[in-house]
Amino acid sequence: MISAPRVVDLSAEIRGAWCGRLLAEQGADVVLVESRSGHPLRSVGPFVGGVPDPEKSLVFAHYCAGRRSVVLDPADEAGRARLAGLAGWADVALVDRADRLALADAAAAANPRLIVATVTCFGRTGPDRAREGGDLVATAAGGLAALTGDPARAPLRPGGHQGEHVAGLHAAVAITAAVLTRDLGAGVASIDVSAQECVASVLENAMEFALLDGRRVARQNGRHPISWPGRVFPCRDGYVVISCGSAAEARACFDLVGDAAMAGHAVLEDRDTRRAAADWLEPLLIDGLLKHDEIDLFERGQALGIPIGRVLDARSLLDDPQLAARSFFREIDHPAIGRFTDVGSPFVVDGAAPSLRRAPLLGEHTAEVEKMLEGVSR
Amino acid sequence: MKRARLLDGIHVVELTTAFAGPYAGKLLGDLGADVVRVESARRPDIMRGYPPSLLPDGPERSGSFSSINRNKRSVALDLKTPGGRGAIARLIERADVLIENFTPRVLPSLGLDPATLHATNPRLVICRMPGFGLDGPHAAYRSYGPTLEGQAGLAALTGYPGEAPLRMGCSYPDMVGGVTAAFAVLSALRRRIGTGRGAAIELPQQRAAAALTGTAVAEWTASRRIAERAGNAHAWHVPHGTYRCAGDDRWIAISVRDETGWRALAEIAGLPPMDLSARQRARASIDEAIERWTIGQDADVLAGALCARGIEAQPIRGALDLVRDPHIAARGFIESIDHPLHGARPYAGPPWRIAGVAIDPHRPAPRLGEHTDEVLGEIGYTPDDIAALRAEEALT
Repeated sequence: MISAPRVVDLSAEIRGAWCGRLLAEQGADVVLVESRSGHPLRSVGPFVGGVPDPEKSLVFAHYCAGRRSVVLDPADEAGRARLAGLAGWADVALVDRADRLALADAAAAANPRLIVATVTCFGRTGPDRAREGGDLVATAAGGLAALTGDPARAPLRPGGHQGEHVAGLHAAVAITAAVLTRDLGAGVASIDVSAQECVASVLENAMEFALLDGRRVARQNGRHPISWPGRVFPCRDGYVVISCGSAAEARACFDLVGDAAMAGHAVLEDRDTRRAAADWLEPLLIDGLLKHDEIDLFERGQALGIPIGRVLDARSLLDDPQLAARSFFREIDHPAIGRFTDVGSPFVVDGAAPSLRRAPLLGEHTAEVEKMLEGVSR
Repeated sequence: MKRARLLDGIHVVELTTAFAGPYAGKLLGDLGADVVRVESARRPDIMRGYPPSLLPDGPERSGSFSSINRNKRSVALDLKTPGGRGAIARLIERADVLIENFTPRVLPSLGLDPATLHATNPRLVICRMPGFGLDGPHAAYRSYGPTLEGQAGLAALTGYPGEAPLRMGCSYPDMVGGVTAAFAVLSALRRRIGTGRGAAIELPQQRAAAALTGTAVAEWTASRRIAERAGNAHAWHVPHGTYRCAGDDRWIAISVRDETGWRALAEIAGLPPMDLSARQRARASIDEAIERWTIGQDADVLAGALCARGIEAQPIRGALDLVRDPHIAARGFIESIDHPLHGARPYAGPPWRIAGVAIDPHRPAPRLGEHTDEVLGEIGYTPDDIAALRAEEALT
């Protein structure tokens, strides 16, 4: 039986923490190294109770779930020895800030077989390599903020730390490929992931327009650049999002709101003509949508073959019958936070969603891990 | 001594369309796997017509297709013919991985349901990427990336404060669905070393995107608070925003995440001393003061000056800026790929550098059916067999 990959998690940002959670969810044994004051995400809210408390940060509880916590201080001799012990035990060391690369180097020195994975904001080479940043900087640097929002107003970072998520996801891919390759007999020494480049990799075709055509895809206030309708629309009691690729789908949108004249209009026939006419088509469609409710539009729209979705928030997401039917959400019992619900695994393997242990209390496993390391000789 | 190759000998079959499935295959191909796309001129992948175009028309014109399908081989099979069905079954029989992102009914309708596939190839890792799920009340519903942004809870988190939800400027759920699928596949391949058995992965794109809503669900259930759309603001990091600079649509992102960063910014921008709670109360006036200070300045120069003082800052870069960015150039992120019909063209490379193993240079995206004979030969078809399939019109 092959053992679970062992990861020493030296992360400080959401991207590394998210990568660690993804790996843990797939069975990796992840040990989180914290300072005495705790992982930096412990000081980021929202906090349960509204007051900063290192055991009540939902950011830490969410992103750092699935691992054990060890407190050590690399500035002192004992801390360095403990870190070297962990590095000797691990298959992978994970670092996500430029100012922590010395930790990665120290870990590598302690274990020549260690895969050192860094997922810094700008990567380990190039003139900007020492620049730090979290989600705002990553989405600004990688081209996503420039594409999001109103062209007349400030570019927007998408909600929910997406720049950090794409970096953590790509890092998890590269790390898993490296571990797999090593288990097949070949050694990977290091992985250098750039959050900026990860963001630039998920821009749909904006990079291709820039590289191949010298053209800039401007932000369009949520409108799809190529097809119409393709955006969030208001309706009577909320919002729906519609994204049509074909003339038949666009026609069906006007059928959905009972506008037979527009449904038969010749302007809808061609994709580029439809998109060019968006400014006068849109108010007509919105007029119709405002007379109907979100769920009604979603159900009838789907029956008409329209790619239409509701705009779910955290509350309605929990009520979504599809996610509920596939047991997506996870109930967490946390000693300081109490009971709460978290999003679950992004996928299911052989019909089962993996379990994931709750986020650790600060230093909860220091003694346990110390004992484990005493028994390790590699 | 020849260096070992990454993902050496891993064979992936892709039965995919649009972005999500192909992006998973692209990442696996970038990591050294052999990725074979099965496609048909009778029902071409919509990506083969997706802009920008590099040729006036035809299935080889799309620059987007070329980007997301680099490194892969293409086998043309009409899966409506018995010969086409037989060939895909044999191809999958010897594969390590099958990735598909059609609606749930397509695979079984081709006789390729997971139980049948595992009966002949128990080591196969099957990754299916339906929009909503293989079953469940919305299994047959239609979705594209933008509609899933709504259904996954992401659109509700994006937008200016107090205004309507906004979709992002890219088909984000498609792309992250693809990365997640690559991760799922690699995780299953690693487990297979121990168990000898493959896996059936169900990766609904709604689910994969909903997993990226951060703390929104936790916050609602733990505190009965719905995370509001906040533009660029961050409840615990102030200031945190994008600010107009000199020039047409030039902006700088500035993020202050601790008191050291704040003191440095206050000093250079001439702002008064304030602790976090004071800044949280005065968020709007701080943002206004910063923009009065940035608006006449060059975004690149200012970002350099702020970073030099340890303040997190970055000009807002569009894709066109990235193409000319010295840091991006120094890292070699943009690579040239020579295509027989397009010539040498620049593309973004993978977002990682991996040391210690060999990775072959990237090859151009395949022409439709370019590798049909080659791949069929590898799985045991003789030239006569292939000629017979061609006569049957199975290879188109």
